[in-house]
Amino acid sequence: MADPAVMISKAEILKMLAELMKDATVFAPASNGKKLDYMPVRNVEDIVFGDDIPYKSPKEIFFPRTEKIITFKDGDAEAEISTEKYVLFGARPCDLEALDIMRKVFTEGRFKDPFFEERYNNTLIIGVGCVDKKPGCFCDERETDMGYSDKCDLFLGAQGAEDYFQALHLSEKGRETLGRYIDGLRTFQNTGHEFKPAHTLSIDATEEELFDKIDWESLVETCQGCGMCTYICPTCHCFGFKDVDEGGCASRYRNWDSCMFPKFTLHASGHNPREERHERYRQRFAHKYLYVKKNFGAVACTGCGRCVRACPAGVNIKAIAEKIGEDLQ
Amino acid sequence: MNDNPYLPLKAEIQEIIQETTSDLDVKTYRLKFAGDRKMEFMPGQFVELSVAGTGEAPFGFASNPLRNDTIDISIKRTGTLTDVIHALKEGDTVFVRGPFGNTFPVEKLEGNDILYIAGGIGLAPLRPLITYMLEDVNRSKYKKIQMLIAARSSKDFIYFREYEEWRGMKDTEVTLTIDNEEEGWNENVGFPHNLVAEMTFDMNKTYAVLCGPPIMIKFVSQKLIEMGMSLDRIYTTLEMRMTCGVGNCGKCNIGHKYVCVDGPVFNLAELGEMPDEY
Repeated sequence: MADPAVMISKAEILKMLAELMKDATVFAPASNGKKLDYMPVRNVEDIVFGDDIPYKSPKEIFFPRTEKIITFKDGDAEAEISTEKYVLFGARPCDLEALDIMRKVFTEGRFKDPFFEERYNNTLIIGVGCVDKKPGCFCDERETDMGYSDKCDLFLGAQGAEDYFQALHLSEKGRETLGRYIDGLRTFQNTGHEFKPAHTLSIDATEEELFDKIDWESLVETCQGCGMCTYICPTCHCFGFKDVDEGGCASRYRNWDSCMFPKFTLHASGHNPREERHERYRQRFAHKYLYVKKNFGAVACTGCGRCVRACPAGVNIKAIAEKIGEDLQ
Repeated sequence: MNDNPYLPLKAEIQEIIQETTSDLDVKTYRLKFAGDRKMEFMPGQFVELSVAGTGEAPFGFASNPLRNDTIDISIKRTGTLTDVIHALKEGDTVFVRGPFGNTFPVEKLEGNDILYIAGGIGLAPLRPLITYMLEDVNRSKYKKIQMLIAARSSKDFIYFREYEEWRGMKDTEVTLTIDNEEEGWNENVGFPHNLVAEMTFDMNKTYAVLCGPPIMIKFVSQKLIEMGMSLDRIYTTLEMRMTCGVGNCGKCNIGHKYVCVDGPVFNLAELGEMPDEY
């Protein structure tokens, strides 16, 4: 871990967030009326502390489910780049690691995605550690340390005695924020902490083996193809465009799409490269566990467990990965 | 290209050329970019073409990359967007992003005989390569050029007006074939894979470049392989739903490759290493 580390109280954190709220939208764990979610909060009292993990990932702050990207004005096209300032508070290590994978996909490929990049650069990211795994979580098996991630500007360790948090600044933006809003920082000797992943859940196979040696049809026969897993996943990033005529002025929107939907790959000719549901599930799985690893050096599954908790049919990606591992032996 | 790969350039339809005369379903659009801008591209690449308010889709360049004052895009009427495009008139505005994708390996092909096999609108993405090779500055780099162009009927050929010119060039042959006999048709009748079997070429000094319906590519490839051509000498160009063009949206993802950035041009050896999801 990076030094120096400081101790800050919950009251100081709330004061800091209240200040940040003056010129930025603060997203933090809060109730959406039904579930805990990363919500835009206007009042720091709405922020829910504690160890519960928000139902959805915070990806839509950076990659909204729908966003206007192009406006056609006076016969010409203009890009709609967001200049909004955001603060993401309370992101869990699994979400931070996932966001970093998404950052790589959108900014380290052969083209940069300016819409994502601007939102990412305009966001102060404050992470917080988890104390316990929740049902469905398998972060440790996916080599994600639930107690720490450096993929943020500031990281708060799990809440300690007397409402104090160990805070680490991991970027200039984080350091500057701490210095500006927190008086009389109490430093502590950061000894770091050891993280030993449980047995590592990864797939060491070629694409050919994954296609030929696995009986995907029976493996995912309960999958309903609803796409819930892709919407709730912190690394899924498939999208499509939709042009809309808005009273004489046309706009182009980018919307989330899902590789689990049959029309996702449908050609105008009627041909569909992934006609069957199990082929689409295989695509989602192979993309996470093989393709992103090959292209960007990291498995695009951080073990957040969201798809496991949300799936209406009980499809469990961890169990599937384990079964595949056995079948490939 | 500008810094934002999603921001399209405005272009004017300078000319619309009716290609097929059977059901009038293929037209070529000659586009000129606003402000006399030019789009530099190489054979094999594609653009994302859109009509504001309707939508966007990928189309291959169909014109000579060395003459890019304008670009040609040939479009078959097949869906919502292409219906709207087919209703456009000369002088109308479209938007274009690009160029995207890899290119035919023009340098690797140098010093070889080239065998083109195209079916229907499959000739469109090959036209940049054909015209690039036939340019005076390039012609000597390639040896014999044979083209086998197939269409459903005599009225379904595209760029028909250019065949005579191509035939008149040195070491250049154009063979035409249609599916069924027609009155007054003096050229070949039959599917391309059967005609390929009758053609003569040096397997070790020829590159084949194919584009057409999947079934044509399959049968012609099989025939060429049977005849002894190696997989890495047979090139084709894949068609997938390349929505973003930049390797992110996921729609053209096959294995760890994205057709929009790693393709659309692949040889059969490369395709053999990819999952069969195209």
